[in-house]
Amino acid sequence: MKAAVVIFPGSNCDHDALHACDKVMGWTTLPVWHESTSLSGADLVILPGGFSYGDYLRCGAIAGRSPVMEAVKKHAGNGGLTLGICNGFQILIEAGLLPGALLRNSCMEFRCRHIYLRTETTDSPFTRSMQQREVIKVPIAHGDGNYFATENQLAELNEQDRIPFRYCNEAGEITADANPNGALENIAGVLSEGRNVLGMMPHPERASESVLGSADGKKLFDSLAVAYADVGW
Amino acid sequence: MAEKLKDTTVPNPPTADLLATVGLKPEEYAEACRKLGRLPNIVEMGIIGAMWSEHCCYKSSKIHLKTFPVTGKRVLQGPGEQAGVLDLGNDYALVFKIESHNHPSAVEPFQGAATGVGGIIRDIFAMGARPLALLDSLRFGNTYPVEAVGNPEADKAVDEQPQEAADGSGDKLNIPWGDSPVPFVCTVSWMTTMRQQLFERGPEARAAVKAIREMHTGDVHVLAYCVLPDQIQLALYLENGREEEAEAAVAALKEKLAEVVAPQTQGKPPWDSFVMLHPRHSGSELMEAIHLLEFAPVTRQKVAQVSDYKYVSQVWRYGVPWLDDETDNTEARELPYCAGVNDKQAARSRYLVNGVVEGIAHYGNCIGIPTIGGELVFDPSYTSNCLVNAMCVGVVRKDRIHKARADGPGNVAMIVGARTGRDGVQGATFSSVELAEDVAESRPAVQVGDPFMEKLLLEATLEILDMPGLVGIQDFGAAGLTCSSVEMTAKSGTGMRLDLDAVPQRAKDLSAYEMMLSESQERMMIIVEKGSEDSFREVFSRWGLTAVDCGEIIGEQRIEVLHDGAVVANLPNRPLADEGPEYDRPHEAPASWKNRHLLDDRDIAAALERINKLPVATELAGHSLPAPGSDFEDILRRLLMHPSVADKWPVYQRYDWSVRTNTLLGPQGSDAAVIRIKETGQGVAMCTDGNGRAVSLDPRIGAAQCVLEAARNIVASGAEPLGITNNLNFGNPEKPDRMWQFVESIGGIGDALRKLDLPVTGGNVSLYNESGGRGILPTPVIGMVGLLEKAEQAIPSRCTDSGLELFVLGTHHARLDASLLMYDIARLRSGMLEEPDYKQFISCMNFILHAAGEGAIRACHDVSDGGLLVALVEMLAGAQVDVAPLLAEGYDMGDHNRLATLFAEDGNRWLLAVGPERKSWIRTAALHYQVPLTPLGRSVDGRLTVSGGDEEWFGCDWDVLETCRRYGLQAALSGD
Repeated sequence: MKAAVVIFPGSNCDHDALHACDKVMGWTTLPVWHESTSLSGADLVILPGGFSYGDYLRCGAIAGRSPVMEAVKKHAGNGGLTLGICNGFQILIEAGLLPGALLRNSCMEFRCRHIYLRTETTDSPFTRSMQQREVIKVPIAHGDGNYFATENQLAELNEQDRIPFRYCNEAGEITADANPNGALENIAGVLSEGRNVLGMMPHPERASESVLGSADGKKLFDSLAVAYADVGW
Repeated sequence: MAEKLKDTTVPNPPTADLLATVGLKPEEYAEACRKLGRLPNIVEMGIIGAMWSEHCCYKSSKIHLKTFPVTGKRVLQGPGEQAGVLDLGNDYALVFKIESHNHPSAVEPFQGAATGVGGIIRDIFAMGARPLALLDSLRFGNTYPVEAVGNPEADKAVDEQPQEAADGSGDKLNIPWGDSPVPFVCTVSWMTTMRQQLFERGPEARAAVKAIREMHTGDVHVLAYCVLPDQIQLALYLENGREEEAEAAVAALKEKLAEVVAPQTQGKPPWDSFVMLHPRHSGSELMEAIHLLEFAPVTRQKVAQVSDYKYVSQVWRYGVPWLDDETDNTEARELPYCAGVNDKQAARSRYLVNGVVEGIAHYGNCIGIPTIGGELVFDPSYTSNCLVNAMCVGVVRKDRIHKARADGPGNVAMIVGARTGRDGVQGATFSSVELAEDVAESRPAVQVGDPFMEKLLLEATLEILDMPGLVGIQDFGAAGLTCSSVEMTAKSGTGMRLDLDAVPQRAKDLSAYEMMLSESQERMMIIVEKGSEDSFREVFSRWGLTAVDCGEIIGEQRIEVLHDGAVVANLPNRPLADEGPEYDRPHEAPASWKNRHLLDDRDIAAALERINKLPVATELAGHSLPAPGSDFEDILRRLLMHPSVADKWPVYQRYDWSVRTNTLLGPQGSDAAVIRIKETGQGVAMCTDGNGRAVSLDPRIGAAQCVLEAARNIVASGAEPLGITNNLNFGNPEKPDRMWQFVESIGGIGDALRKLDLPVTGGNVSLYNESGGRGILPTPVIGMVGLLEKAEQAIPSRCTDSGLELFVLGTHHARLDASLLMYDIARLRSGMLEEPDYKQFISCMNFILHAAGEGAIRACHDVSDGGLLVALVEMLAGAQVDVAPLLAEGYDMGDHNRLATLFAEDGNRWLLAVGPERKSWIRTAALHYQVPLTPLGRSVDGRLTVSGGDEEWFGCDWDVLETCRRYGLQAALSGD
């Protein structure tokens, strides 16, 4: 597996993603500069968290239109594995690769804490090593993670089983209290129609070693390794 | 280049307004003229004013700061650079520093705090290090109304009284305190038969005190007394000098006391011996003897741990005969004044807290450096002067450490990063004067931060470190361009010709004066070898940043500033950087210092009465609370919900503490936050600690206690303390009592560091923190770092498993002086502190570090704010464990001492949780290290039950305590 981590000016989880892919997973890992037009043949592209271009316009809006995104779109269009975490999720939406919008957290403040996610589908390269309804503990760290979509979009996402993660409590119940940002239907992540693009607000890369308080996030990377070996994405 | 200095004449002598604007005192201006040999023009005056401001040249503090220990085997860089550097024992080094942004934050909290964070981050990466973590130490006025107590004029009146000389010449008794023998002074002590503990219990001890006080009449003066369980000690003075009167008085007292203890002795003589020591002291011997008496119970307690005799030592203090005001010894003393907080001030504090937290979150989260710890404290003294201290810790490969050098004439100075605007002009001067009470007027002196720009600057700077041709890096801190150019060149024995026309500007028509003093953020100066500019420009441009040649290093030690083709300033740089004014400001203890006293029974009784009158919370942030079942429960709840103690999670969840995937123990994960260093596998523990309460009562011992508190936190996380940075927040140094607090605190910090063999590697001084004539509580903040050779051995402060054994490690003297309970809740701002027991501290530290290395400790939490029970609730917070203390024997005491056992904060104590399999190991290890390790028992049914001896003191539900702890801060910040 060859993983590329795109670095936008203002990305700040780029090192975290590189560390998880390189040191934790042992993949060939390379950083890709935002002005680059090639992904150097990567099998997996990660858009990391951060404040790309300072997020001074709308989160991810400028990054979504930066030169490297043409290559990312092409990669995703060809079925290439694409993972957007946090700001990366916002960028994928701004780039039109995923539906919906990410609004300001309903509490109007930044939130950083461990939350629980319920795995809603194992039918994706990102979740295939997990159990259906498995509860994983990963941190969130965002101010704009309140997922919103139109009724039609939401219906479609549900019908097509494209919501892999919802915020839940420790027991796996989807409750309002477990929702850290006001996201519709506790949605924490969304898959593309082709199921090869995932955008999610929580940070699996920050929960990939038990010394960090949880290694549950590694399951997502393990899934990718299996999917890659299996299908050769 | 232009030859002639541009004429921007200023009136001679300059007007007072002009001098105030540039921040120069008339005598400083005169000195500057002397050094210069001519009159400075306006730009030069601005430069001199900034360089000679308290902020840049530490003029009031320098001579005292020099006393700090600054060396050690790990010190690679001590004070004097942008940040301190400590060797990690391999290829890497730790870079860290703390800095304040108090005044800007009081004016514009969001930007003030944000730029404070930005500034300290730049200090770290300007050394070549990658910043890995942030901590912040915040202090605000209360966010809810608080009534004033005491008489606001009382302490002023005391201050205005002629100061009594330390030799006691103001003494009403005319005791000749000098070296010649006093007419008749004796110290007396006698013991009980067989050393029976006849006065151990409250009633007997109190009766003894009463009898002694009655003795103080006519010609016999009791200067000091001490009642120990098995011993009475007195220091007597006889005005007429007749020794036999003393004997008669003591004999009468012995008889009286024999009656008191008759029920215990059943008619046998209670007294074993009668010893009269030193019948004729010299004055200085007498003072020493009095001091010994005063602390006798303290010394004794180390043996016996605790008892009821704690409050029965009393010293008659120079000129204040206690019988006059203690005829009724149940009547309370007048409370020292403590300002109140009105609705408007409370609302402003809420605004400040929210703004500061948002500013820190905005900057730290965006730049992607985790904010992993710190402090949040509330006190009325910070109402108009909040404290915002930020600390940053980074790691650098040793061969990449870069300093602020400007060597090599002909080399090029480049200004990189943001463009220069008018923001923060004169910020350095602004932070060196007292805040006006209406501070909103000062907005233009506050800078605006752009964390995105800084992120780019950070990455670009780290990228150029390995490039050939790089000579030096310095960030633009206070006094921007002025300070960087002067400091870099003065240190390197060079000078600089600076061309302001080349400086990228974001505002129109900036004057030279403004450009030199602008504190626009996210700018740095790099010095590169001539000819290599392009390669550097290329890196910065890839990050979207400009890097512009703006100056040239010259051999002559001068700063020449060109603007519009003319020389607008031409100053020698050494006098600016190294020969600034240095003041040994007068410092003297306030008169009230001499009247300080240990809190005694009646202080505490009165305090409890006040607490009993406080309204009892029935609801907290929407959670209802049942009525407390006992006074102890009531007190415990008040402490837990106090915003300085309650869970800080409402604040910490607004900070990104997990970015960079190094945070092993983040906010509240441990007493100190711990990050790992991926390159070495080591862990670095860090914390910030201050304690304005203790320092206000005794600046020397209080400041030493701050160092110990920080060290306790570092050790609790399993790390070995390495060194400190400090932020000294004090009031106006031109007032002798504030200066005295400052000087004494520095002494105390130095004392503690020498005992623990730790260096200071730098820091920050923030003076003039006062408004309306009242200073803040003197608040030195210690930022300490520690090292774990194996990161994974970090110890959390919370117990999450059930079935663990709990112990208290260390001892204390059970004194409530300076405790949150007395000082904050009961508003009793008096008392005395004890000398710390460094020897025991070091033994305990070695014990914990050994046990940590063995993996024997599952959780460790130090006992600090709020005392033992608060620490216990914090340690067990949220855990589903059913364990609670049954206090060991020896803790059996009278009412007030039970109080002190549960809520005192003195001494060095830790709570340890140990797996049952290591219980005997840990006990054996404690014996080996000769450290006191006291087991705490267990209880069941979701209740905390506190017992001493065979008696249950009180019990209450964990759930209620947890509610108080969890929602206290939220309730305080919501303004309900």
